[in-house]
Amino acid sequence: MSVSFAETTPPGPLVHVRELRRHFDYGGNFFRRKTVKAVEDVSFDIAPGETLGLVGESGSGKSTLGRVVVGLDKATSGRVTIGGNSVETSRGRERRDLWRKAQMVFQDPYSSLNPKMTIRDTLAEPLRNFGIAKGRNADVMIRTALEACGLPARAMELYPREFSGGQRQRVGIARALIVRPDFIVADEPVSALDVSIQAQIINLMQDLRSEYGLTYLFIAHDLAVVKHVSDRVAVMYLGKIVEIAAAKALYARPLHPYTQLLLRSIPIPDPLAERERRRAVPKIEARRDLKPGQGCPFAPRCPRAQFPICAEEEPALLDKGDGALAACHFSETAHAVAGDRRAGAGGSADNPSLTVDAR
Amino acid sequence: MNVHPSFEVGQAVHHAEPVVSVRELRIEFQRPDGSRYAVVDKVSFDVMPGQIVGIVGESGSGKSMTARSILRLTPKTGKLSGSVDFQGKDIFSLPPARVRDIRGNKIAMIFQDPMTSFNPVFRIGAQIEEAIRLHASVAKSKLTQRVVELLSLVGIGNPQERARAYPHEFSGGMRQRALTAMAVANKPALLIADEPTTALDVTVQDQIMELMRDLNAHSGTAILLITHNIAVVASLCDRVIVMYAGRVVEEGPVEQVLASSQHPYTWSLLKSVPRMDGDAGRLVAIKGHPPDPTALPQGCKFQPRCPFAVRRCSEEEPPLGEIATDHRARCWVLMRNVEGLAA
Repeated sequence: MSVSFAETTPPGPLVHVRELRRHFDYGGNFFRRKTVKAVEDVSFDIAPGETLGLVGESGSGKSTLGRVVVGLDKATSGRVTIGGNSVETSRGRERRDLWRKAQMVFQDPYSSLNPKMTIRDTLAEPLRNFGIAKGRNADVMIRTALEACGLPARAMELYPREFSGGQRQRVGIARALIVRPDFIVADEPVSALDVSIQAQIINLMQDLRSEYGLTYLFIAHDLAVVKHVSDRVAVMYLGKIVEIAAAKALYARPLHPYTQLLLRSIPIPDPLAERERRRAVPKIEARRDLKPGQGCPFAPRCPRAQFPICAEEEPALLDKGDGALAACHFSETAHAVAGDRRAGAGGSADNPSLTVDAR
Repeated sequence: MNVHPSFEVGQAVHHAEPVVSVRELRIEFQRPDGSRYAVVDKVSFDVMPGQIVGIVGESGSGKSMTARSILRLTPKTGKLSGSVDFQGKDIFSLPPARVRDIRGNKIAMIFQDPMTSFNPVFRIGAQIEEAIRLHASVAKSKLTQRVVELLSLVGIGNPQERARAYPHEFSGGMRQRALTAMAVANKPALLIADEPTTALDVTVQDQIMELMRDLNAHSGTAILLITHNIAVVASLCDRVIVMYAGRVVEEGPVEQVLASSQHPYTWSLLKSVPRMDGDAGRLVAIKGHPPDPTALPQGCKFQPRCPFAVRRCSEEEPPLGEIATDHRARCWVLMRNVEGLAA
């Protein structure tokens, strides 16, 4: 029953995003538009079967990015291809196929289901739209999808209001799953749920991933959840990816000062470990005199910023070794950080003039 | 962060009497057919001077209702019973005017959403001034100066100018700071904070937690923190009260309750959240979902979801028993008797 992308296509990224931009115009007048760059020059790949976690604070553009990638919103410029088909230029059958292949799971299981439709109608709709199944065949598929998501078959006859939040999220996942997608964008899928329910949904998503060979873009603000589910993690700040690396490496040795700040800000549910964490957090005073402009967007809050370079020149997202990319003039390479930990010695040997003592 | 010395409330710190003492609190609502059900029941606890006490629980656990009942801010349709003793007075038997004297004065409260806690058409400074004037007569010039002091106390830079800003000009974190400034304006003996960091980004959450810690350390204000986030409790609190289905299921010093949880609910909850310092093993999910308060199960309220339930659990509700010094749990089984089975 599984339609694994990996079996049918040669290896390579399933999702391919290049120089993606999404700008929103607001206010101003005809001659002078004001623009928010919600997503600005974002590029990344996701391999088949991989989970890419996307973290960032509110307003960082992570949800907009997810919507553009899955095709729910139009890019201002840039390219997205999923399984070799371009989201922008494909038409007709190819377009429909793309809609099917890339599905989305939403944050709020209360507003993302139609309250007037039974669960059967909700799940039958995509089957009909894509011409996959009707009538009795559809019922069989609906039952299978519900069971895969841990819901009993009798759920079909019920309305969303008869379910708890966690069960509604299961319905939302079943709706995405039923058309046999390769790729699912999950936008904060557990943040509206109670703590005891979050683990159920996280476990379910991981089970489905291995069972159906799914590829995820997992968007969340909860760094502990993202760490738990992701193979690689991208960190967004003001519309840009500032760091992207393997999850283990990123959490163990964050390269970008913003990632470092984020990771240090999370409390740990263990008073002793938490006391340790608090001791390690350096106090940072934001530089209010600096306005984000052409320089590094993080410079005003950055404890390591050096002037004038950080205020004048925007750092590019560069390879820092071990497949880790970071956009910072002063971040060490992955090797240097690792070496730093072992030897307690200085930073990058490649470019000593740009090495800053972090301690 | 610098805390202005004039805001110290030194005398509160050395009292041995609790700041607030809640006994057998029960909050009932009525079904359409006239029968009653309780969303909070058998809740008793003390908050000692200078202490930070956390109430942790999921939605529907009754944690917010419990906190609000201390200021009689529960919905009018809710029937309160039991007692809330504050400085020798039972808040439940005071006339409404006396409760208003306490509210925002001796006991202050801040809410989850700093966006809706301010009136959008008045300046921040004017709203803080109003909170002070309601409870004391202060000269206008002193009032302005006081507002500036309060804003800088909570870490808002350039307070003279910021006092003249409107709420929409503040970010979420600054609004929560301003709200905290308003809450501590009258040097309360108790600050009730209902999910103060839930709507905020993690970096801002960390700053607000630091602010709470500073206020508590420097002015001795006791804090009752309501949250669903166990990590926030671990970070801030001296004591923790775990609530489930309207009841206290476990209570004690934070270190003890989190390191050796005795109630299966507390234990499961800790295992079900991914940790920043943990590895990527499978999460232990709690089966099912929290019960509907109008249809609570027989016996222990957690029993239908509990992996360790025995027969007695569905027959008889356990009492909140003292299971170690200063550590109580409402359970017939207790984790120390089954921890071997749990792994």
